[in-house]
Amino acid sequence: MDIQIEEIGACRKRIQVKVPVDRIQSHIEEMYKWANQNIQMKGFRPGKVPRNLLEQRVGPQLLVDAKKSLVEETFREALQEQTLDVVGSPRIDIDEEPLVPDQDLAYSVELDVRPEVTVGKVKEVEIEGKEIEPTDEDLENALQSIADQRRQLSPVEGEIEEGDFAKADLDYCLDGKSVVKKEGLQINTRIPVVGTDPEEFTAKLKGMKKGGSAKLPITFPENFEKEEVRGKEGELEITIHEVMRFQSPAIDDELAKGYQFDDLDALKKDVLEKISEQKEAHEFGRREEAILEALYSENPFDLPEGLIVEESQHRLTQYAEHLRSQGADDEVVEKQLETAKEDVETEARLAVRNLFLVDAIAKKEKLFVTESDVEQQIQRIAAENQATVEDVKKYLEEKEMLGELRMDLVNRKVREFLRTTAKISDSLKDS
Amino acid sequence: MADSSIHYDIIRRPLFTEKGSRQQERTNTYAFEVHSGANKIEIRQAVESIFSVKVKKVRTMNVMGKLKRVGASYGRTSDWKKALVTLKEGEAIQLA
Repeated sequence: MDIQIEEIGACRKRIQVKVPVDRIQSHIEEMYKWANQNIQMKGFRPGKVPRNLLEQRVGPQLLVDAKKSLVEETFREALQEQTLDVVGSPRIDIDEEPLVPDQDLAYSVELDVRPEVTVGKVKEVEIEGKEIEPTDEDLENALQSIADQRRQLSPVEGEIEEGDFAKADLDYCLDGKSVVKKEGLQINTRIPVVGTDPEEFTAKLKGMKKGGSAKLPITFPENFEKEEVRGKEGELEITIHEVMRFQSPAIDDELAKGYQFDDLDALKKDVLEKISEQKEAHEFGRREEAILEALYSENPFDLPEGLIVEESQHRLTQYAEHLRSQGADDEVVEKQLETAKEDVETEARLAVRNLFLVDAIAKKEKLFVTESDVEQQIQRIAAENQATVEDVKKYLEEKEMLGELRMDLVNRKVREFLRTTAKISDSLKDS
Repeated sequence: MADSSIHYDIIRRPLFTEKGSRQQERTNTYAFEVHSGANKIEIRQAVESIFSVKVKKVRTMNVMGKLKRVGASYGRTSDWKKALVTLKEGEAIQLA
């Protein structure tokens, strides 16, 4: 087997493999042997089908499959021989033509290899710290959003504002004569009556008061209840009976009691604790990223572009699935993906960079994941999901996620190490 | 036997079996399911006409249908005729 390796970019190589005829023929023989044992043919016991019959029945497909399996086999051997540390999925350039038994097989594979990462001093990296104590504004915003969860639609005095609702009568007229009257309907400035111009509808409604009325042109829609007026131009008279608005309750003891707290102070205390936790987690994450960024800037390395593309695509696919699960149609999904593409690519690049960086730091500082770490994590997952440890283990093994779990644990260990050993500069604090 | 379509009525299908392929290799004999009313001469002519080969010998046998059971009721598959056609040396048929 002839193997040629060519550098075609940062962390990217092209391997050209040439498989000789004798290897091809022995592979084809093996494939026929396997097929003979495994193909059920009426009139023959397994393994007893004559070769010519097999060639006629399954030959063409077998040669196509043989090509794929031979490429996989020889590619694996080539990697072992060359001791290449491949990352991501190799891109094999191969056609769908069947294997030719009396001709050498040549193919090429493009692949990404692990970059060489050097890390400098990883302890006491200097970064700026930010305040994590909750501010009055944080507390105010949090309490307001809690109150907003209990908001109710209630009548208000005064004019209709953007987003308000109104209880109204609608009178559909054609040539000055009433066609249909609808009473006591709930309308909203943002949801125009079908057949009216949306902008004009909103403009007319805004500023109206209880008892007021307004007229605006309407094109009777195709599904209008009176068939004879469908598609005709008419007039819609709106009479307002009540202006309604979503209003949040006051932030007081009453609100706190609604959330099973004794009084407002107890609610505030709980909210403050949660904000602290959130801010702390956020700040810790930010510090970890800042340290990784500093370490990378000190010793930058090339990133495998193929892996970044793969990671971006994986993230975009997940995002698309998430959008679809929320009921978005294909057009919306496509638009959203287009908008998010750039950000996702940046995130993917960062994730790939951190992956190699974290790995190098773990090796340098000998931060390894032990079996007991894995065990503890599995117990934690089990407790969080109300499942047994055995079930979680079985699930992780079935989905082949144990490797991922280990990587995640290493990542956490390294990040914690970086954060706890870093020098946080007080002078740059926000406070 | 001037009409060639009759030949296709006589030769119903070639038989692919372990025993048949062994006979093919050893004695150049091919097995066919044939019309139950066909005689050796008709079979010889049909094979020669359809496959453009020279036939050395034809042997035939009537095969009894198998007894089959569906639930409580018994039945039989149809009886049929098998022909073993030996070709002259150097002749061959491409089947399958």
